[in-house]
Amino acid sequence: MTRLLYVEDNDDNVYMLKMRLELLDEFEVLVAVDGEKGCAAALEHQPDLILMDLDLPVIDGWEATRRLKNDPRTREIPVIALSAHALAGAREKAIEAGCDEFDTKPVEFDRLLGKIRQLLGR
Amino acid sequence: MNDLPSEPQRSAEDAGPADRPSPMPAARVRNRLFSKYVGLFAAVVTLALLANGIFDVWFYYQEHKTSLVRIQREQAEAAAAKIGQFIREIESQLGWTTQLPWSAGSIEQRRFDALRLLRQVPAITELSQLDASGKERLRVSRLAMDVVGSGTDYSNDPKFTEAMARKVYYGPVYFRRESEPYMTLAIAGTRRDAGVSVAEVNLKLIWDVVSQIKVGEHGNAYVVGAQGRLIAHPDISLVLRNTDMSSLAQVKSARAGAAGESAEVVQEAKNIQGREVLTASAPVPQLGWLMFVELPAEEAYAPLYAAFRRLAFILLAALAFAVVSGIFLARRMVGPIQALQAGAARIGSGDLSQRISIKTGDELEGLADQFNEMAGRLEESYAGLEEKVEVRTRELAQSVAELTALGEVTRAVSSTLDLETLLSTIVAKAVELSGTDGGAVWVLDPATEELQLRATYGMSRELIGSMQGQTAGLNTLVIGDTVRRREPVQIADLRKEPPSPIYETVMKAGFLAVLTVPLIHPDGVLGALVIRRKEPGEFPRHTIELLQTFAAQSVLAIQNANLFAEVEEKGRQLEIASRHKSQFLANMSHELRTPLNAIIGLTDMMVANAPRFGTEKALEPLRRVHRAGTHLLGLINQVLDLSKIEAGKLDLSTESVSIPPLVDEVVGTARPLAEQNGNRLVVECAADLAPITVDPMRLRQILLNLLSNACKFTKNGEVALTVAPRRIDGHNVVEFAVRDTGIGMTAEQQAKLFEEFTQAESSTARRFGGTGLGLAITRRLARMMGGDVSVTSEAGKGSVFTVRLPGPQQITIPAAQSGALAPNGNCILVIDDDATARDLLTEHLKSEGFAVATADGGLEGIKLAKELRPMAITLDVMMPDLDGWSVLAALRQDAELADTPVIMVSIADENRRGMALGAAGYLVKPIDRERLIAMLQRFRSSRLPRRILVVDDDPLLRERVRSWLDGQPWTVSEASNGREALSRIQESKPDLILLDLMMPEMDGFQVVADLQRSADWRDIPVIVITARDLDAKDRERLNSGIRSVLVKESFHPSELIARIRRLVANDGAPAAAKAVS
Repeated sequence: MTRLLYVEDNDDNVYMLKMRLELLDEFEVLVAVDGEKGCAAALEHQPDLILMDLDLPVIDGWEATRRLKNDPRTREIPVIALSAHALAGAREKAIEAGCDEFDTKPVEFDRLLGKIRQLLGR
Repeated sequence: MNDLPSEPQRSAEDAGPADRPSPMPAARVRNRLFSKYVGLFAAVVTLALLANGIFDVWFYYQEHKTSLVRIQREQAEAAAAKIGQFIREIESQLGWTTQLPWSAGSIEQRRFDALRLLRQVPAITELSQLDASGKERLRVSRLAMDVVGSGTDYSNDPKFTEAMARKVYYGPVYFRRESEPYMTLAIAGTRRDAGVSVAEVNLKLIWDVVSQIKVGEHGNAYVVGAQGRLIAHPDISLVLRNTDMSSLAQVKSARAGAAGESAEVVQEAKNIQGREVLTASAPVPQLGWLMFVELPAEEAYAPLYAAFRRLAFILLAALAFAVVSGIFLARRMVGPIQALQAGAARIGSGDLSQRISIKTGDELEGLADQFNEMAGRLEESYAGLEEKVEVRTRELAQSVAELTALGEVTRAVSSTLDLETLLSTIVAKAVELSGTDGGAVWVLDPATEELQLRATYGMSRELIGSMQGQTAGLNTLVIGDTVRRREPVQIADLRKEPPSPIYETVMKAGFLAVLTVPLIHPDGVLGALVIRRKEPGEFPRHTIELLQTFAAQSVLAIQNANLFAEVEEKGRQLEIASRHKSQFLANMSHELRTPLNAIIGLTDMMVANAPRFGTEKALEPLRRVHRAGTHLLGLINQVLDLSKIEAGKLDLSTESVSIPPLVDEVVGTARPLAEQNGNRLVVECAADLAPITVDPMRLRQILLNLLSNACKFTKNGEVALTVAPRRIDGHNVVEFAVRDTGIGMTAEQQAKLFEEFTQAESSTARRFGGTGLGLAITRRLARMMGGDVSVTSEAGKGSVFTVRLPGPQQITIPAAQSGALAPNGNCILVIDDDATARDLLTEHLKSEGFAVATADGGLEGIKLAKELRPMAITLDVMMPDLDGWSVLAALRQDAELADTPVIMVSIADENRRGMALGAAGYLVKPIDRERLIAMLQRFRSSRLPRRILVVDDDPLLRERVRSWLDGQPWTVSEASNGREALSRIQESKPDLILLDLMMPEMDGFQVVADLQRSADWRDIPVIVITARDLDAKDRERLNSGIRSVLVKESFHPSELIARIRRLVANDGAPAAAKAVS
């Protein structure tokens, strides 16, 4: 069972994605509701992959990603950034912060799944 | 000979043009030359005569004198000779008596001889004989007894001694009986013993001789003895006195001469009586006497004097004659000259037809002829000149006409955009001024490259028809030529051209000569201007130039028309775009809502009918979906609402609404929300609230927004809605308060609260959802309704949102139908989107006794202003939604409202930071001269000249304004920024200030603030200037200018009141006047 950490503050989004991923019977989805909790959870639970929403309270997704990537303990964990911002440059910004991948919301499930699998496949 | 002219003469030096106005008196001038001549002539004659006369007289005098003297001398000599002769005779007679020796004769004999001698010589009065020893032997006398042999011894007597020595003795003259001159004459005989005969000679004869000598009229002779004593003189008394003559010069010199000494012969001397005489002398031989002849000088020179007198007389006569003849001569000479002068003067004064007539047959006549010729030539040339002037004048008139026409055309070009009219005007003027008979303007259609007839003049309908019918392609003829070559082309005579249908047509209409001028534009040729003339012939260069000018005007006109068409087109497109946008909005809202409809509806259904559809398991997702859908719908609606409000398309449909049922409704909707977060929803609403006029939908929207916010941000707390009537500042108000015990807000969060798209914190959106539009819309709606929303909150404790809306009795109904306030213009209209500020102002104004109307936005404000015609308007220029500046501009554009005093106000917050700029006028750039001057008319000041200070950073504007105003009652001073302005004001207080608010240093507002602070300057009327269309940057600039002042200034409502009073007073009652009109 692959462990995923989903850092997201919107309840509906959490509900939906968690449910959908878990329905596949191959993922275990942990949830953190803000950036700080996300870093802590990543440290503690060492997930296989982190889905990082970028607009987070306390510490936003970029900062959280940076921290995780700077910390040798969590550096290796792949991070997919999820953002509802449709603006140009969002992808670049995310990659700059250290994210390994980037996807937009509303989530296209299959595409996201593809990216997850790809990153886990490494 | 010409008459001596009687008109004023000019001096010879001064023969100038006919404009010299100072004549000299005739006589003086006449005498200058005339009297010169006369004088000269007379002088010459006189001098000649004088010289001659003097010469003559002198010589005459000399000669006369000489001859006189000669005559005298001859006389003298003659007389002297006579006397000498007389004496000699006596001598000889006496000598006879000495012949007888004494021894021989007897005394008797002797006596007898002596008597005989006495008888013979009457002059001898006594004869005595002395013998050789000197004794007297005989004396015979006429007067006494003869004495014989007296024997008197005279041997020592000189008569004896001298006689014996020299043979003859002349004794001195003596007088007997005191009157008779005698002389003793003694002669010694030749024989040794002859003895001496002595005779006493009566010299009376001499006297007779002397007396008889005729010397002139008054001259005389006299004899002077050897001793210088007078012997004989016509005046006996002198002789008897024994006058000594030796002192006389002539006597001296004569004696000297006689003695052999050389001496000048004195011819002029004084005689013994002291009179000047001309004198001559001759010696009497032997006796040593001198015979003098003298002539009184007077008499001697009398002829001379006479001659002088004659001379003088002649001279005078000659002089007179000379003068007269001189006058005569001079006249003859001067006359023609004067005639010349007069003639020249007349010619000089412009009378060129004058001819001088002098017929003297000499050079003067020749001169006169020259003058006449010159006059003739002048006449010709003047005539020529007049002609030239006429021609010139005509030319000038022509030019003036052209310029005027050009001016008219230019004005027309700039005043109307109707291209057809313009071109027609241009053609008409061109034809008129060029003196031709018809013309047309062709414009090139760029698409078809064909020339189209656009305007005509002097062309008949058929001609126009047939011209239009025939395609005037670029290749055609004259017009095409012009366009191709880009220069004027003319045909002097159509008959001489190769035939063509167009030419035929034109000639049929009567035109024979054609001139075309291209309409040249930098980008190409736009067409051609054609004029036609019935007379064949070349067109003068002047005409071609004129046409080119008109062509240029045509180009301008066409350009303008094109530009205008473009602008119109763009405007149309913009309008279409705007309509499309609205349409788009409408469509989009429809489009957006449609899928949502499905989502919301279906999920709703599936939740509601879970058992039927077997969707119990899916309830949670479905509910979430439903919620998301509804949320989305809400957002879409908010976006649309906001767009509508921005576009000014949000209308409130007000109606009388009863509050309690509406509140119930809203609460019902909100209850689920409350329950969701475990909140208790409490409602307090008085059941007897009077209905208010409001848009119920919007009211619901507001309340729902507040309630949902309260519920959203409160967990397990209480949300309370309280509705109650209040009386605030004299108004009836309905207050809706939503209190929650939620998370509350800090002061900073509160500040940002009502701004669009911000929630208290960006993450709040994540947490609590929402776009942050709700409150913004809520506030706008509230304000549109004439109320406002306010908040108090404490972080962690909760918040209270309060909506106040106008209550039932409020006359300031913001909706379209106000009705309550009659447009009598006695109120002040307060336009401000900030309720607090509005209240503040309203409060103050009301307390001062003004009636107040309010508007919470620009559109509202304009509408109310139009309806109510307030006497003054306060306008918040910093309204973020509907830009105060635009409102101001709109107020100014509106003719009815243009003169209403507007006070620009900005009040930051309840701390009363603000300023009021009571502009007495408001102008937009570029400043319209007429507008400015009309505005200035309103300012009456007793003091003239009125001083206006122009404050603007643009020197061109300052210059322009100066040029408009300087010299009129206004004197203009300038400043290029606020600082300068203030120092100018300090130097001398202006009567009016023209202030640019858009200066780069944003000083305008500072100037205003400073003015307000000084009691002295507070009442200076200020006219502000901004740009016509403010873009966002401009607005920002203006607003930041205000803000920069706001930060510093505190606002005194009393000042505002005072300002309003002043403005209202200054304007008299324009609003009332307008109300009447």
